[in-house]
Amino acid sequence: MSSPSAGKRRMDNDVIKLIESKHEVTILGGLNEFHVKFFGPTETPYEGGVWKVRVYLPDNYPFKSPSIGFVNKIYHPNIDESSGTVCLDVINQAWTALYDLSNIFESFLPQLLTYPNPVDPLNRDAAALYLHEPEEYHRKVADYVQRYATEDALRAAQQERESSDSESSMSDYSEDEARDMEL
Amino acid sequence: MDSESLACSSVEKDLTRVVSKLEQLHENAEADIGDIATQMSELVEVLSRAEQLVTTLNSSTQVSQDDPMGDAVSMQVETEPTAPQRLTERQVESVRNALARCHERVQKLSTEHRDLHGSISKIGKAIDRNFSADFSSTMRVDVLQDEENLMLLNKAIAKHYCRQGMDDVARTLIRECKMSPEHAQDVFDSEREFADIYGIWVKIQKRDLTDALKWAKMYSQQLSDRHSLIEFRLHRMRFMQLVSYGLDSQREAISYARLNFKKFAVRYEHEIANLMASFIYLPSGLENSPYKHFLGQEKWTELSFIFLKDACQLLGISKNSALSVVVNAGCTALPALLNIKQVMQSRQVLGMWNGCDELPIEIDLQPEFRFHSIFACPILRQQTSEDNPPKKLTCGHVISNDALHKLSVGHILKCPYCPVEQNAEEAVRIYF
Repeated sequence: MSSPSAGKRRMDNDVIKLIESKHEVTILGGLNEFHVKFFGPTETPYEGGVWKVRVYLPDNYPFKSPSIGFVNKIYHPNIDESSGTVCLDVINQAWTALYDLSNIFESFLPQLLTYPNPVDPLNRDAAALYLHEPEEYHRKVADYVQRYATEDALRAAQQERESSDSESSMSDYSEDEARDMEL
Repeated sequence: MDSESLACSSVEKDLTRVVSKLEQLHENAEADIGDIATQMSELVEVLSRAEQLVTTLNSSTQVSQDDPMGDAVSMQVETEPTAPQRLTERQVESVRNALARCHERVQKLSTEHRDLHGSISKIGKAIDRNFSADFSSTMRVDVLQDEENLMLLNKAIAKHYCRQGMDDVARTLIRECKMSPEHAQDVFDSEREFADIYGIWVKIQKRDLTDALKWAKMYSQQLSDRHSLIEFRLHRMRFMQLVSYGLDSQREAISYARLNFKKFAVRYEHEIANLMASFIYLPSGLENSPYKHFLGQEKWTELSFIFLKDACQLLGISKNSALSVVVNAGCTALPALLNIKQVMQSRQVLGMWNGCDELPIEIDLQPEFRFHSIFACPILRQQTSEDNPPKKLTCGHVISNDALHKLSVGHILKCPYCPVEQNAEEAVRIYF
């Protein structure tokens, strides 16, 4: 009954729209898999951090939510520390087929980092710390930012990866220019 | 918009710098050339004086031929050096100095001129840096390979020339591109109707309503069916024009109102009553009355545009030429397309771009570029069609049929906009 290419066209258009909205997007194999540079929201312990976020769009997109994961380490109750995967339940609850991909980076992720949901954690240690020792939680988050989420750390990780595979950047903006962009 | 004006001001700054350099060079050159001209004049004087001296010497020689020793003198003249060597040392020095100074000045001008080349090429670099010269990523070059499409383009251009009153140019184009007689006829036929309306439009702006009233009478029924205001507006303006002529036209104005306002009595009852009250002000003149706004040119201009719009609408003619609409919409769209030029170079996207009849991004055109009611599904982000019609959910939100089925789980549909759950089969098709 439904057109099999309809979602595909929506997918293509959404990725192009995301690129047009000046996020730094790096396309992997196809338009359904890409990395986006994400900056930590202000007034949170994540402020000043920069992460590479992996986005995978399923075949059923936009009727099924995309899969989101942080490539470099981040300390958060709803994000798995080893794989960087964002909790599926959290995404599914927030996702609606009306969303743009830019909603993920301008609303969903900033909200998630600002207001963790410790009741349904992927990182139990982080959830416990968040609930019982908030100051220590803040210190640990900031420590992770310093160790894994700086531009230098990102470049180092990039160089390691480039020796194993290749990717093309679709963005016009250099990292220095990206740093000046407002969230 | 910001980046565009930034680009323009950046190029303009470089351009201003070069222009001021050129002006400076022009002033310097003028002064230098003046000096050179002066020196050349002096040189001419020096040479002129030398020439006189030579003439004098020759004259002396002639006179001396009468002397008893004539032969000896004549022989002496034949062996004398040529004229230039008769110049004094001081004169030779003057000539040499003048030439040296001229050479120096010309050399300086040449150097300054050469220095400007660098500045001028900077303009080219600034333009390249701030503007895009390569629009190929936004073009479908294959479109004009088709002879039919090329003919359509030429036809659109010819019609545009007719709109501008340049019928002779249109005819030349038609002849040179070898347009077939039937297409050529279509160009002039379709534009003739607009030419008539345009002529009336011009006359309204000149406060002549004769042709407009005639036209409105001819199409009175169609205008009425469309609830058009134009016929009443024309009569109202004519009435006020008569009133504005003063007491002498009062009788004529009353007759005009009696004859022409009758059919509008029901719909415009209050307005007509207001218009009739204008007679009260005749002794002191409309200039000092609440009706003075009818005397201004803006009222006529406004009326002319209402006429243009309603007339074009009624006759099914576009108010603007197709070419101007397309070019204006294209200028609006081009920056957005260039903005994603990088994406166009990706193989997947390029394939999609060529294959679809839709743009990969949203481009905000102003209301004047919207001609048809359409609905774009907010979920699939594409225009609905007969194959995929818009459906209204029980909660009132509208999505496309394909999206409806994708979102349904069995018979249960959760609206993507609001929390309402409903039976998917209760959605009804709607028409725009």
